[in-house]
Amino acid sequence: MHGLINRVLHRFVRHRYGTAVWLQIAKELRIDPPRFESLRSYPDHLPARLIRCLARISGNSQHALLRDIGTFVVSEHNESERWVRLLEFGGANYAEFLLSLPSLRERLELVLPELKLPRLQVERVADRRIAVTCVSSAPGAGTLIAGALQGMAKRYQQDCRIFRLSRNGGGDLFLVNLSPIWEGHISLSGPAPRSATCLVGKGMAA
Amino acid sequence: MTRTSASQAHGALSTPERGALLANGASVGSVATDRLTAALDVLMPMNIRLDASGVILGLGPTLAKVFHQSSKPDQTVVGNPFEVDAPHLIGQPVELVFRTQRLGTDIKVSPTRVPNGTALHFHIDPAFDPAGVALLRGVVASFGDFLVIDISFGAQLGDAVKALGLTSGDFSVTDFAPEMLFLMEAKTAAAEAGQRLTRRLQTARLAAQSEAETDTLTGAKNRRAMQGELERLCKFRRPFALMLIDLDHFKQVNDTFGHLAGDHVLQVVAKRLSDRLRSNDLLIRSGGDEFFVILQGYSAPEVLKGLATRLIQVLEEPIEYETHLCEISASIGISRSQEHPVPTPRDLIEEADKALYFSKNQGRGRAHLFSSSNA
Repeated sequence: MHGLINRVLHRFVRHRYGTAVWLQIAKELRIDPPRFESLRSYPDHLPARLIRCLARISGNSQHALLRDIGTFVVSEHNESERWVRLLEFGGANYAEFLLSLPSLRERLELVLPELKLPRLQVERVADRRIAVTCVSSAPGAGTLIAGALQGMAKRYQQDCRIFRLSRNGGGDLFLVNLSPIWEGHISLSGPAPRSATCLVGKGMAA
Repeated sequence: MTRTSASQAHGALSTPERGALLANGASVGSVATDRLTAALDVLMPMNIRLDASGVILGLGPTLAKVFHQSSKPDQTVVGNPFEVDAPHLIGQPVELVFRTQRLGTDIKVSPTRVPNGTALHFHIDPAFDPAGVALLRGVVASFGDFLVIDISFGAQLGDAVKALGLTSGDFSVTDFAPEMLFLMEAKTAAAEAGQRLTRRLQTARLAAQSEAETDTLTGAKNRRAMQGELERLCKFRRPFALMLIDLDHFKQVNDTFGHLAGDHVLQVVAKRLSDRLRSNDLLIRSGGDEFFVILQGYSAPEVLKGLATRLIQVLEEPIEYETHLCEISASIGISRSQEHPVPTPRDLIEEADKALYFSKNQGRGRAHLFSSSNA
């Protein structure tokens, strides 16, 4: 697994929970020295173990952590990773950014070929609604992406809600509602599915 | 060199078409040429459209952004094809300034006299350059009476994007500029990470080397360190003396009071010796109860003998261990590099050893300097 991913997790833990928690995790997982080199490869199972360990210590669910990590990755706190500064290059506004996601993925893969990014499909289904399909074999990838999309909305100062409409065979379908308030149905072609869960968004309890 | 002029150009535009090439629907035009302008802006968002006399008819949307922030019209700038702020650029004449490589002089040329496909490198005066883009790159193509110059940021891409807040929508979909940006950032990040890693590895290497050259019991250097230092001194012909110190009665301490007592004595010996040496002298524990000292610089035989005698005296002071008093002494043999025209570590160690043997034979607790007479 690419050192960059582990470095982001390291930075997230220190930023959110402090150095003491990080050192505790590093000790439990025998990460010695307690930091990661971005140019090195690490065992594939390390990120998942790290998140499990953090969930136990912090008392947060892994789901919530994944979502927060996604938000953190694209935040200004992670801008010491140079590519994060390029995220807004995708579009002049949030909708443009969302529509440029497939290109963004291609470009990130160009510079970091070892990174296994989820496949993303984006479609504008209505004026202020954009559907994002995320296909990945990695469990939790969709939640992470949803967190990142929410983080980017913050960067663009765009109110939005992100709903997970369905989940099957390693794929997640999200609907990004660009309006600050609930506008009747959310659907691609009909009334809102009852099972839609609001993953992240304004007004939602953490 | 072919010269393009209105008379030889193909497909000269009719008057309505000419009007349509004016920027942003500012003028009347046919539907066909409106489409042509729109197509140019899509394919080349950084184009400049000029008429036969070199007057600007319009700018592509991204290029208009480049000059949008500038607000100092009416300045004539050498090397700047745009003499005024973007909104006022329309209708202004353009003069391209070429710097001839051979003569290093500027030649002003009307763009209409530039052959098709000519590559241009031009400067923008800082006063007109909110993006800090010092050098642009472009190519000229004639289209009937009209000229189109397509411009690119070239290697300044990263700075321009940052300064102007450009996004991928400001570039043609087929342009590799966005990929270039990501690669540039990745290259810089990888180089930085590489430098950080190299620094850390270097620090770790020095620490590991120091550890590998240190005797863990006494903190003195070990035989490996001695070999390196002797080789260095011999190679660079630095004068030095080598002192070999062998403890007397140490075996009795070990046998009587145990190994822990022996270890304690060795630690005290190393401490007492190093306290009496200069900072650039090197104390080595080469094994068992045997120490070396490398004394840098030229030392007279009497000085060396005096030092050796004092060292023996401090080692003869009894050493406390728990309730016991351990009494030892030392014999010393000394060799000097200046006795040799071409000294080698091996020679010096051998001679110190011979001198030590001589001291032991003389009845221990003594120091001798190697000379061919006592060999």
